[in-house]
Amino acid sequence: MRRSLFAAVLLCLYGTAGAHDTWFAPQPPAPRGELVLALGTGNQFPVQEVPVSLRQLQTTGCRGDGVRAAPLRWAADAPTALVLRSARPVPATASATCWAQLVPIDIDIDDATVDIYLDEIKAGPAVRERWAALKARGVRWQETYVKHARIELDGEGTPGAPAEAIEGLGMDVRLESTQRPLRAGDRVRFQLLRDGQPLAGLPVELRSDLSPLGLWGQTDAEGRVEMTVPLAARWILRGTDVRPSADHPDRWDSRFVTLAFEVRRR
Amino acid sequence: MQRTLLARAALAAISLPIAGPALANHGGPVTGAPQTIIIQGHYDNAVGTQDAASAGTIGRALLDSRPAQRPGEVLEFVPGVIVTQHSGDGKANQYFLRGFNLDHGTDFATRIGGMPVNLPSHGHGQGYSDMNFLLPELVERVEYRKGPYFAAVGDFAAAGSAEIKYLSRVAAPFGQLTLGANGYRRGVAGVSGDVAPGMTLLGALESMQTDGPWTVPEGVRKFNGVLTLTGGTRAAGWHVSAMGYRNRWTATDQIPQRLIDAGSYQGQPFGRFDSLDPTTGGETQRTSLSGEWHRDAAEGRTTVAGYAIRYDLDLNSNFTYVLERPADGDQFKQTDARTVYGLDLDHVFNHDVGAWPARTAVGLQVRHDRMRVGLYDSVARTITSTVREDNIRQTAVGLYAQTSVEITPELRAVFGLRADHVQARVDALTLPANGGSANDARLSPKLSLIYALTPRTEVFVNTGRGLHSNDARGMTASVDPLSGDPVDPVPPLVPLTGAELGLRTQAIAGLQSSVSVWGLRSASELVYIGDAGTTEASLGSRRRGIEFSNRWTPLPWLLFDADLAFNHARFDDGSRIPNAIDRVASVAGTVRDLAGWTASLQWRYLGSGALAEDNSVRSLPASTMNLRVTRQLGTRASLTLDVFNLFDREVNDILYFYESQLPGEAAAVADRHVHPAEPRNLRLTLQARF
Repeated sequence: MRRSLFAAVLLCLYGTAGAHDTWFAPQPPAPRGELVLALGTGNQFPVQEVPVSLRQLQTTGCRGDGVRAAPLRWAADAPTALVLRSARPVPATASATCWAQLVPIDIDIDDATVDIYLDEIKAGPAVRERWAALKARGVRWQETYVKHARIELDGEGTPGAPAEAIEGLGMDVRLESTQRPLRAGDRVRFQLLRDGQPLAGLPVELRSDLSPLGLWGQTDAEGRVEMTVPLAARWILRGTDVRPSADHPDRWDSRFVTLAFEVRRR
Repeated sequence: MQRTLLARAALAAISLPIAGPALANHGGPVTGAPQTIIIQGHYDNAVGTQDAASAGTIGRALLDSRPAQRPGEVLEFVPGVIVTQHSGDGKANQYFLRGFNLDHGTDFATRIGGMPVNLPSHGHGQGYSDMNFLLPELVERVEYRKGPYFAAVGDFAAAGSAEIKYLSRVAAPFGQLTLGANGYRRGVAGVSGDVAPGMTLLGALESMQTDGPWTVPEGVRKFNGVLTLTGGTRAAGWHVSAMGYRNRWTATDQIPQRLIDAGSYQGQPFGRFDSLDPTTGGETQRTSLSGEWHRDAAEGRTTVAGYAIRYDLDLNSNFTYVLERPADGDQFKQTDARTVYGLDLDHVFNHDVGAWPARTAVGLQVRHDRMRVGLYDSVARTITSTVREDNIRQTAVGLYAQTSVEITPELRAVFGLRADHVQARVDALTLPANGGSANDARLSPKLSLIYALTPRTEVFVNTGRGLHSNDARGMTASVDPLSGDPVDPVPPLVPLTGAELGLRTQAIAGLQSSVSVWGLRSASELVYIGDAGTTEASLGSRRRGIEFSNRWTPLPWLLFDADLAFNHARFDDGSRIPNAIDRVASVAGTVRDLAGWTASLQWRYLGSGALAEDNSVRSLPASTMNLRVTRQLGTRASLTLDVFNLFDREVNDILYFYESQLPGEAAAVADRHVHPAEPRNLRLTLQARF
């Protein structure tokens, strides 16, 4: 019976693919204690498939308990990820947060793929209606997208304060939980920010490296969303905010964001 | 039936690529390549990780892929280092680096498992560095530095230093057996496991025997063991390690070239592997207890390490045959029995210097050696007379601070200051006039500037003062024990000043290159005296050179290394420094884990060098190739074939030029004396993991 249930879940889940998110994956620290992170893009967390180019980095940083913020440094070009390291060693006790914003990229998407894309990010009715109108006029989907990635790393010491917003990021996710490290079954609160302001009504998805099952939620008026992390695993919270371009009425601007974090056994 | 169909369908689903439907391409082409994040491969010398172009870290992956004829050859992974042997396999190796014949380790500081290997005022030579207790299977990484630019290393580190870190656990319990030519047999077993929550015990044992290619069988009998208990976490942890090593051997010391050329001696054929004194050799043992405790906190990382070492050596050599004592022969015995105690404290913390972020390390290193060293005339290892015997108490204290300041994200400055103090008391048991006390102190400032031209390219400017200590017996000497002539004592600490300009780049994908142009000036050179078997303080010297190191990984499973070094070494009076090698090269190609095969082919080249101050006699270059091929046998076993000196080249490990006299010769003859490299030999290793 359990096997059948497992099989049924797998069947249901197959096809629930992720978009081309970009996220940080933690790696073993360098011998001197610098944090090492792999920044890559993939369809399905946790498998990174395409490295980010160093030239795509618009801004990066890392800060932690007792460690001043400093840009991440290039460490290596791995086949599926750009490997970055913190500028300075981070004590094993210290919690840290690291982030990256990539340069804007223009993209054209064919009509059939746009529909999948909008389904996949759970775009709202306003976006869909506007797209329908553009499509009726024969306008292709033209988009400028910007990727944002952040990771929270727990140290072995006493928990730090809730994560602060990163200044200057176009899109950001704050992990507001003060109980760190997170444990399986914890209720976790996040806040989504766009240009430093709460982002309301954005659908977001939680994904773990144990299952392709995504848990969806939507931010409230303060940009907050609260969800339960049921498993001890590596997780990302992902969201995509698509809006009509402010400069070109027939174009779109989108911002992708991921927050990577770890949930330990209870 | 329904359940079966459902299960099959599910399996079919998960067997498909997890790509899902076609998506908007928000990240470039999706290759579907498996996730392979290789952060630390063979070397971890990425831009930004080191303070000099000539410094780096060697990873375990590379150590596994190349053969090593002797444990000390682990240091050959350090670019520019060549390791050879001029005697038996229980004796410390000969090391060559940056125009130094480091003799048995002088001017190259080595630490294994947190303990110093170099022994000051050693019975055979200052800074004697016997690495035969090293277990290559337990090495996690080798961190190396060259030049006197680093405040954390002091005595013996003028040419460079290496810290060999051991694993705290093995991936799986293993046992391996190696069989090779000339009676080579080696067995190693290692196991680790959790003995309590957060506590790991690692144990490893080694036994090795070989007769070597020598006419007089070498008869090496080596036993070695390591037991390490590790606890805690990365933030707060500790380990305690006990090691034991014992070795005995018969040595074939260097022989005169004139005999090899003649092809016979006293009516008998005489070849490269023959011996003129079948009783040379020795025995040695070393036991140690060491520990380390560390704690990470908001105020920084504190490390406390301590060690106690018990060491004995009984070494019998004959380099001049019957030059000094025609009746009995010139064999002499050198003994060293000592206890070493040491304590290292280190604290590293982040802070600001004005508006600039900075990181400072402060440390204290204390070491006390209590030894009895002797030099004797001997016949067949039996003492016939005592040349000198001394009890020595020697204490070295090093205090250092080093601050790395990030002036801009591209520019770092590293300021270092080290204070060294040495105090020695010599009780000259056979010639009290040579006893006494001596002490000395030196300050060694250091400065490095590192500028990142691009994220993938850095330039380095390093300068600093370092030092090496002299033998305590030289510090208090007033009479030559052999001739009775008066002699002047040597200074306890000799300063050296070095500078280096370096560049490291990874601008080309897959290729990491470093080039460094360096210079080093020493106030006094330590020169090996072949006919006395000792080192002697001599004139000042100047060295300069260029090192060019490359690691190219065109494919994840393919690695090429090429290390080239050119050296220029002169005494202050312009004469040559004997045994300073002009050129060193190592080029290797390695294939890793390709359909179950791993292979490495390495060419190593030890260039020519002056054997006499006037350059009238030079050594011959030695070029050899080594091959390792490993085949995985399932997931739990592997078979490795090592071939040393693949093309069976008749080359020498080392050459000296000095006077010797053979029985029957009317007078001393100045000649080359050579210790041949071993001919082609094969070793086959079966390793099983449980």
